[in-house]
Amino acid sequence: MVCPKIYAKNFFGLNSFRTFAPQMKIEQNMTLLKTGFLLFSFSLSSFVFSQNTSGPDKKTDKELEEVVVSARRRDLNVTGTTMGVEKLSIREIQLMPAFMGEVDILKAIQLLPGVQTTSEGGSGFSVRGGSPDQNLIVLDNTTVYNPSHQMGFFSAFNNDVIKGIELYKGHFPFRHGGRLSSLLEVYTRTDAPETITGTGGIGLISSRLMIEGPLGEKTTWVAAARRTYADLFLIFASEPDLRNATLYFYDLNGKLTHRLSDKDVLEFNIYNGLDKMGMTMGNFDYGNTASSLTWNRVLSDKLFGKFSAHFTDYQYGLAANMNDIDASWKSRITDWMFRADFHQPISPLWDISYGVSGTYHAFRPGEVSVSGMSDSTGSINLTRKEAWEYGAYLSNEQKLTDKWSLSYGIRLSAFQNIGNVKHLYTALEPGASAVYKLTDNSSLKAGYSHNTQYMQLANNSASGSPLDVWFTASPQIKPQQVDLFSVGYFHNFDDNNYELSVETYYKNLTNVVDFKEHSNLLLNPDLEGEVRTGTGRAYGIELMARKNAGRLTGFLNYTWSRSERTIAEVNHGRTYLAPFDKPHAVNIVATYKFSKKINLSAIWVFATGTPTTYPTGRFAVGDEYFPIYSGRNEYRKPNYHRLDVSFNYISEPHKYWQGEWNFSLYNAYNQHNPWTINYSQDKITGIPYAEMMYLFGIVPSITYNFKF
Amino acid sequence: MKKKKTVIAGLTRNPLLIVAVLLVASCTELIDIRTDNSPPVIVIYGELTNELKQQEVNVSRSSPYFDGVPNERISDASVTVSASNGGLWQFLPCDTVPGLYRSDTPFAADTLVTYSLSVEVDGKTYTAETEILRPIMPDSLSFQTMTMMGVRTHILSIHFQDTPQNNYYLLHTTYKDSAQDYKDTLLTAKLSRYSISDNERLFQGQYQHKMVRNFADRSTKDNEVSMGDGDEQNRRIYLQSGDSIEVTLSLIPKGFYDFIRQCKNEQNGENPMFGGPASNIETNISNGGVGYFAGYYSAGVATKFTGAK
Repeated sequence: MVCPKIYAKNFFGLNSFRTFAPQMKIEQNMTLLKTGFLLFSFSLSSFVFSQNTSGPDKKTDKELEEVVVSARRRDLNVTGTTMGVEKLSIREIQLMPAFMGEVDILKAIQLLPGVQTTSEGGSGFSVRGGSPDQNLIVLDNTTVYNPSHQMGFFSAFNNDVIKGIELYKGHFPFRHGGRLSSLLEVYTRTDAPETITGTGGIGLISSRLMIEGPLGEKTTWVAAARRTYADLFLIFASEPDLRNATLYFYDLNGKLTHRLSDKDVLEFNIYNGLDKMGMTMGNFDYGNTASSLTWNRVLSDKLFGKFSAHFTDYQYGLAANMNDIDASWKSRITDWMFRADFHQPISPLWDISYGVSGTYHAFRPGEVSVSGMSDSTGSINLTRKEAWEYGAYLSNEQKLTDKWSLSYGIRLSAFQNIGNVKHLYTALEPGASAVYKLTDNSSLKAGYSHNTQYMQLANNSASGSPLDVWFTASPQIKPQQVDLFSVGYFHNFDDNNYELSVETYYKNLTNVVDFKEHSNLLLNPDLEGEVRTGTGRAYGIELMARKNAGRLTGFLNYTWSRSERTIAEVNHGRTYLAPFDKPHAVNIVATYKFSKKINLSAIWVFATGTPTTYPTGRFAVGDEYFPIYSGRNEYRKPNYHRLDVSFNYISEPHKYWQGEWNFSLYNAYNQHNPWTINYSQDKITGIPYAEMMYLFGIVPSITYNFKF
Repeated sequence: MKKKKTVIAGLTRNPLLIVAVLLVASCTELIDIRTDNSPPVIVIYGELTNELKQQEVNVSRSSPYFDGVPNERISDASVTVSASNGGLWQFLPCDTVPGLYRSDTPFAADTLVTYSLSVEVDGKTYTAETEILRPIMPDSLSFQTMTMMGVRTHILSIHFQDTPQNNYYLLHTTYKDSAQDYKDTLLTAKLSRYSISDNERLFQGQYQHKMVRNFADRSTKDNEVSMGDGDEQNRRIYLQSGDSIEVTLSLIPKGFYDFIRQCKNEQNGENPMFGGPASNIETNISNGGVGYFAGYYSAGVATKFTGAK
């Protein structure tokens, strides 16, 4: 009896395999290897049958002539135990209309069910009613604290180097933790071309270039850069100050992969991005650096190990200069994370994963200094803080019967303040989910998870101000926690070309954070005095329909959701709507492929207006009126809706060159969606009136993309 | 050292202004908002100063925010002010200005004296009290000249010795131009234009160099390119050689400082980029009233602008 092993070579040459029982057949669309761990992003080049266990390089191996491999099992949405997971390939994202021609993965995920934008045109997002700081965003497993450029209008991720994204809306893989609402995993490219290749684009406000290639037989590399050039247009300004202004961002990505042996691969990733804005009287800059070094090792036939060190840094600085005096304000958060993760397929029906991690956080919430003042009175230094965050986890994935599969595990987390205030919090974070296959194409799923968040953002801006200050749990501020319950029905049709899902969830939040009225969050040495904690809940239903094949592809989703907070000393202790409570949201994304060269894409979004606080009364001092409010977030802004369209034309390929033109219209029917609502008094009568400010009318753009 | 306070103040303002100007190519349009109406509440506002005069208190009633008629002014209230040093004044309704009450006799508020206000209206009594803090004597005013957003700008600063406590300052500016077109114009006549400042921790207890306000240079008026809205240009004061400026400096209670700050922040609604959620303006009026009753001692210093140096 032959007991075949299936070998797969991934891009760095590691051979991963799964033993198949004799009665099993290799079927089309069968998941051969697990994603989400060591070999999470496959670029499989070949499959090899082996009749022994000595590996794929033996002469007895027989290579299949043609195997089509998808990184994602096509019916995974039905058969997988995970819930609340959304995936988008970079190609899907690239076909969507893009704001100012900048393909943006963070704006793409705002189109997914249960995900809301936090402000017009912004990259910030809310997942199932949570605040943006409850989202953990990792780039190749390294945290990115502020994933945006230009005050949130663009994301920090250059789409040329991104391979794909996965968004977990509450049920995280146990290897990650520390946030309540979501985990967004962003993966960079893992392709290994045999020669140097590249992609790039030239747009109205930015250009970008990505090159990748081999370096010998064992090493591959990727390098990418992107820069905006809005400041180049400022040279035409009439004002000298504007002509000399600085206004740009750039980001750089690098990746180096080296195969030490058939069982060992080293991988180095680095990202660096910076925004810079300035004029003669002052400037403002902010940026992230995220880097990691990872050692992947096949420890045995059934044990994979991954050992990694991660560094991330987010900092911003403001500076003012007048005549010969300079002043600066700097803030920074730095993390060093070390982790070891193991994946062990016990049998074809049972996988376990386990690991440990430790993260050192260093917070510099604010430092102000004035040039020429060397004594202590010339500077303000908010107390620096340091903390360790630990995690250890064990997770199991078991196929119990043909119909039942189960995923369960537990994560032990700890947070230890090690600065002036020494304090330790620990938490157990269990989770489980189960899938019951109703038919080959449909299933019911249910899940529960408990997450803990030990640090949060002191920023109550709705539009993603980059002036971030993170503060930690402390003796006065307990960690935020959430219990998430969810149930879903999943059904695929027509050989998985159509997907339909319904998910409902309920979240119960404790120690949820908000800030007192008229809070002062910047350069405040007593920040904890501004914090108020309480409880919250969120619940909703998410409907998703997706068409994966054919000329017309895309998805349609509808979300009904609510999110509330109850916090003493906020809104007189009465329950109020969370800032991102939007009961109704509809997203339609469609791409129609007219031919191999031409396709047309469109997005239509609708969302109930965000909760807001309108004045219900006014009092007069002199001839000026000032507002009286009856309660927080009692009203809503007008509903939000917008249509974007894009037209892609793929030009005839040259020998070494392929071009693609993208024409986009953002807000094609010129909807004026309010960004802010402000009040003024009539100059003659003195009577107050309201006016809204909207950011964008129709925004056309053109981008030329190329690859070679 | 002399200019450092100005620099610190500019630290938080200038770069954000750049961002706001350069990034937000926004438009505005009127929007119709329908809300419930808050029940009317009594509004009391009064400032006592050390100037010997008939001190004033205003009493009115709040109204729905978008009501099309001015707020009701109340002229049948009973208003009294008593002092911790034994003084007692009846405030009488003004015949010509509804809702305005003036003390029956002129008096000047004394330092370190607590004044208590009592207003009876609609059968309810509203009270508040304020202490007149010690005087702070300013030494001088000075100008720095620089170009900001294409406008030649003179930055007026005031210089004085601070004390080590947390101090909160109110600065009023009076302007008189050499051509006598503006005779003793109080540039801070409206609450929204009050200039307030605290003694930032960076300089607490030190000799202070506080920025008061900016003036545009008269010579550049005709060549200006507007970077702001019409209101901003209308509010711009153009300075030329020979113009006179007087600034009064007052130490004010933190509550009054917060009230002014909150009024300025809340008056125009939300600021999504750097503001927090809308919140009610805090008051020291009891019994559900709104507004504020405050007092302060003002000390002034004057200078004549002699041109850019």
